[in-house]
Amino acid sequence: MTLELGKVSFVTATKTKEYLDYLEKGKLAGTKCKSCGALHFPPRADCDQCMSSDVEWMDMESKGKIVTYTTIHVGPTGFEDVVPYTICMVELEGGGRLLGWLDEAKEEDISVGQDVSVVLKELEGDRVIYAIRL
Amino acid sequence: MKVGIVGIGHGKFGRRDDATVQELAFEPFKEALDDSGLSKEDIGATVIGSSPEYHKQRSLPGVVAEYLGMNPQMTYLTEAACASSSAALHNAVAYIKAGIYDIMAVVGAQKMTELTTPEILALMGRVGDVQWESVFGTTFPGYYAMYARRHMHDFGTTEEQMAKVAVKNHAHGLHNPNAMFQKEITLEKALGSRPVASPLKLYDCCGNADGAACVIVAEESKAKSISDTPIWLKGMGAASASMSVLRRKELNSIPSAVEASKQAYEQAKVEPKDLHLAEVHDCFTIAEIIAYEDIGLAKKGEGSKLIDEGQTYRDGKMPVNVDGGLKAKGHPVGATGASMTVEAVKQLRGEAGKRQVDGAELVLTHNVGGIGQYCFVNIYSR
Ligand SMILES: [Zn+2]
Repeated sequence: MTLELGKVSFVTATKTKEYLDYLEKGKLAGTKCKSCGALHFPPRADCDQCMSSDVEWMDMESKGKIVTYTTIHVGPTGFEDVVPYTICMVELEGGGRLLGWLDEAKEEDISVGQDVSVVLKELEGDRVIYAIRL
Repeated sequence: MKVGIVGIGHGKFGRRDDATVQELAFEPFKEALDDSGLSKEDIGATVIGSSPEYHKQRSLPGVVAEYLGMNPQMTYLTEAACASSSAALHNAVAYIKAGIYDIMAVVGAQKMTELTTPEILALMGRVGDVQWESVFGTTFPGYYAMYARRHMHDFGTTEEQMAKVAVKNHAHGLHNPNAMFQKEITLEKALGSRPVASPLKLYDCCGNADGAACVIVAEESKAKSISDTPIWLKGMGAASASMSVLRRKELNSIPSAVEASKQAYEQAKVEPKDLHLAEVHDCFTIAEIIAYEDIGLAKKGEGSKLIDEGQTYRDGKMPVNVDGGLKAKGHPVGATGASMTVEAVKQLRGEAGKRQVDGAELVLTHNVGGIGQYCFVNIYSR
């Protein structure tokens, strides 16, 4: 059983499916273009800088800084039972950005630019989310 | 060759339980024909701007063109989320400039209330990049909220300044009979409204609405013979930006809006200070403040000053959204771009009644699709 990313997922067929194997090992992985060296996170199978499709997986940092955040009070389908939840955008050390959920802290405790770490946290139903912790 | 606007029509925006989407489209199409003095046989083709996922009816142009009596002429849909009918106008102008058609009709039409609340909530959950973002429960207000938070951090913009945009646009909407809301609101009411996606509250958000608007465009010599007061499209900028907000360098500016307005100013050979009115895409109050900066009405980071000083009221130095904006007018996504163009034309003709901006000779419209994935900026003159 492979983990799926997020509370609800919409896409299963992708050339970057291997990403989920890394998640299962507790790792965040991006792709690096072997042709031009561009780092892609979220990972891409194809490089939009040089148009090469020759990419390799590489580990990403799990520490970063908050770029911005919001607390969602009106949630979409599948998220009704978890509102309110705080989404943080995090810029990882060494590059790459992700959205995740603030964990074990309140919106009042965070600010733009704050140092945080990204922890992979399992949810029911073989799902994993990025938990953003101070 | 210039392209002129020779006919306009605008339906009532709001909850339209009385009409199908094609019936909504008929209202402004008929009005635009009457306005231009043309008959439907004079129209070479139609382009329909709409966001199709809101409709039960699939393939909207089929049913709209049939209902307008516009078969067998060419018709199709343009989709650019909230900027779909600006995309349609862009298309129509390109056909005219290419000499393929002399006269075309652009119809923006949207019915947003035929979906049930669960259906709307399901759609709302797929507004961003569904692979990497929607999986965390992002929403349309949530994205603009992330922009708002960052703008507040970078430039000191406040929730009160955002609320002032809502107060202004509601005050303007009072004089627009086609607006969904014709009711003033107080700053206290806006600031005290319930949170939707912090820091955005209910009164920071525009309302989902049904509605339609129509614009008839014609090649220069035809435009002059059809109309005594053709309104000219002097500049038409169009640009795009990444679907994923993770790939945006800055989260305090909409890059497609900066690019599209640069193109429009260059084509029109004018500067922001030459404008008499701007109709901008205030889907959320923060979006209007960012728009001030992106289209050059204010320096980057100083957009909130304009609203603090009241400069963007109708009688201010630089009126913005005198028809109530998306905030008070309502936002039937596919109709909004055409609606902005209709207001620009009314103002330039001096036919805007109580909301007329004195001496309006140069008007800009700024129509953003999604969270800036698409942007169309047009400049119009008499
Ligand atoms: Zn490359």
